[in-house]
Amino acid sequence: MLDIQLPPVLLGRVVVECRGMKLASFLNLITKANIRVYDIYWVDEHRLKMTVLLSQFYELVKLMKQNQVRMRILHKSGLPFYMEKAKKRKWFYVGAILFLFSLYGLTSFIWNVDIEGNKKIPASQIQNILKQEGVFVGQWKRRLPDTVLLQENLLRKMDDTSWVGVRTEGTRMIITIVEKKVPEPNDDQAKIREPVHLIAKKNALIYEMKVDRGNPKVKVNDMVKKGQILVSGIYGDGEQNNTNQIAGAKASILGEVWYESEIEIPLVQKKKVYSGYREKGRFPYVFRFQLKNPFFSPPYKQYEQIQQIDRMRVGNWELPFGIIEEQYLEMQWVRSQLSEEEGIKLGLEQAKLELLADLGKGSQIVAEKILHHRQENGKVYVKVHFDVVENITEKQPIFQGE
Amino acid sequence: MGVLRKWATEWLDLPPDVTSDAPRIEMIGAHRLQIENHRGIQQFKDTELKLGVHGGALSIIGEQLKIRAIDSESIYIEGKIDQLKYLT
Repeated sequence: MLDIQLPPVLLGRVVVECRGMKLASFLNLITKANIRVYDIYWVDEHRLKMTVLLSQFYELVKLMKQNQVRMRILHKSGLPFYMEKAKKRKWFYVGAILFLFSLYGLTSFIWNVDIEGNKKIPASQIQNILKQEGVFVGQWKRRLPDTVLLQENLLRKMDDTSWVGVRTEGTRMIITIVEKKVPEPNDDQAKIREPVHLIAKKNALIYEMKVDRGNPKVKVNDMVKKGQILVSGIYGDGEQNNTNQIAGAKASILGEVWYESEIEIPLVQKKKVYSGYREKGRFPYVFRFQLKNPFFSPPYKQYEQIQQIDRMRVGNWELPFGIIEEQYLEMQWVRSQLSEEEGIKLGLEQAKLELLADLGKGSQIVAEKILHHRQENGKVYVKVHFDVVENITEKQPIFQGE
Repeated sequence: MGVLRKWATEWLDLPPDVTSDAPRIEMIGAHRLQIENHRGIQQFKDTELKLGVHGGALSIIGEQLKIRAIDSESIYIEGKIDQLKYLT
């Protein structure tokens, strides 16, 4: 039927309302003038609504004027009108395009260089090396060196690294460094020439001696007093002071030391036993106040609570609110009644552990003897004697010109 | 002219709508109507549309009638069409 070459959306459409007396005959005039109108609605006796293409709109207006038909534009649509509007809003579009360009432009630079994993190598040194390699804040992304190559170069330039990883995340460049583990300078090596005497830390019976350096002053099975010189750092007999050479002392001397411990053990023991059931609850908090659900009660009769505070952060800045995660572990107190013998045994164990914790490693309990025990008020009091072999040496510096 | 056309229709076995002045009416359901060879609109309301045709008038009666498109030869009507009447 009626063929229109271009879709009306592209040509532009105008919806008009015509007012006049003989509209039916006016419609015939329109068709005779070869004006294409469509979507003609009857509004009332003297009014019609119709749509006309923009290209023929002025012809239609002319025809209306000739026939005393008045009209009103109801709606305009289509590309030509849109273009008209766009011209008025030129700067808006310019802005939008500029925005896209600047967004693209700004994301094609490196804005952050983060260095991770360095402990000993100062970040500034790494930054300098990176700068030489062409990685710095403000570098154009296209001019960045190849990642694999960069990793190799960095590894080569920094001797103390065993691995270097480089990755780019948007405008952020992340350099991950794994430092070589350098063995700690040997303690013995550094202190080998330390001019010291070794003296006794405690009153003890010498049990074993291994002298690496220095002049031993005591023998095995000697009783020594606290502060007594065990190994002198000065060679010679000490009479001819001037010729004596200060060599320092190094030895491991084990002495037998006696300890007495007194312990009390309640015969009724209370122990926590966890059932293995646990619940979690999460509560927000603001400043010091925890916003708890008032209807919430921990699900167990007896429980232990573990709190973990999750702080909200913005960068390095801590926000005054966050979430507290609470864990409830169901548990039970279990009472057990001990016999006196069991109590003594337990007390002994406890005393041993306490003593060894006090003395530090390398100590050894060689003998133990219960001296005395008594039961009173549901508790057992035990007095124990321990024979402990431990390192009794202590360093004492030698002052020149003594 | 009329004689010649009638002769051509008969002898060349052409369909009458191609050659004659009679309107060709095509209706799709009760909602769309396409008429070729009309002689102009005589009356237009949303309930009745009177169309001049060869040898009289054609009245289309319905509701919410709307002229979808029109030119000097054909007209395309949409709406709820109830009746189609020939007025001679």
